[in-house]
Amino acid sequence: MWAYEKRLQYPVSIQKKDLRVARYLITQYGGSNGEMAAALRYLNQRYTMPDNRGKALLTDIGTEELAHIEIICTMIYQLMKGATIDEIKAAGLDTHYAEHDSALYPTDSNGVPFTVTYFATTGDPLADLSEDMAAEQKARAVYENLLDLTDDQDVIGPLLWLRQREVVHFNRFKELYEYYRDNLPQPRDE
Amino acid sequence: MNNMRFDGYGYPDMNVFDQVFLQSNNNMNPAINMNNQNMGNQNLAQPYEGYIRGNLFNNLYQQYKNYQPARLIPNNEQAELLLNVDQITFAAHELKLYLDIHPDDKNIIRLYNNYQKMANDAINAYEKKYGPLLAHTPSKEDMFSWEAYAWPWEREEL
Repeated sequence: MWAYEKRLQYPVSIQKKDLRVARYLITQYGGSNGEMAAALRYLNQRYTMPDNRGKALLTDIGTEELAHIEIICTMIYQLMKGATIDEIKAAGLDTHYAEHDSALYPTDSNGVPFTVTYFATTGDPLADLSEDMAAEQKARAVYENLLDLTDDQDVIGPLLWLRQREVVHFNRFKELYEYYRDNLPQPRDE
Repeated sequence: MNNMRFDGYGYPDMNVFDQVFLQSNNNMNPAINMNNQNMGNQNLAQPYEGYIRGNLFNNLYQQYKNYQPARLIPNNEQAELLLNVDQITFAAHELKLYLDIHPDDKNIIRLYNNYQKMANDAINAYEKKYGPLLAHTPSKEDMFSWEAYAWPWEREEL
């Protein structure tokens, strides 16, 4: 089971409304390299990890990704707070507004809704962990793209922090991948 | 900045957890004595430094361009107590991810247990004044504490 903690893993306090940046950031909520895809990917893959190392690491990183969803959603919520219809139209969020008003909804920056086809489970730990390593690298690259698109320090702080988490997670997955590669009996030729 | 306190919780130059360690472990400080253990050439940042950059492990830290981590400076008591919770639980979480795949590293297990103990203390100190952080914390009797205090996405001043 899970227990909610009533705090953000990293603080978000954005003073300046910015609809464009909200639209950019939403892809790390519901886009292909976003935090929701990450959480669901690891929390689905964990059941078939071959030992407790894999079950523990995928549970714990998958759980942390849920906290990252909350950080990204808080950023979007604060960036959009008090927006006028004109501002929403100017940022290209009018199509989001039509269905959702200012409510959160997982899409990418172009408004394409989240889909589970963004991730895979194969039952093969090396295949799954290879995907996980790639996912962390892609998410890191997207955070860097997002950093290039803003000069608001209130936004940059959390983005830098989330980017660094991708770096740590990539390295943990890599260590586990190498451990399994060297220690598991391999049913298939590598 | 004006109402910052420097009674041992000073930020960002001094870290209370460093002091707790030095007092409680003397020369046994596992954060200092780790280099010759099976951590190899890894060394750990102190909780505040690790927390603000999102990475407790110096050997894994990877800067982007010239960006520097935001220095989180609490400007009221609630923010300070919350930052204590945030940084120490983060340090414990980082060690947990490491221990998940290095479960035999006794030095890190010891440090992890210390951080978890400090995390509990930090959470208790926050909850006593500013409401529950954990879902299983008992409520006050005259109001339902869980829903009464601000939700995380609305705590803009913190």
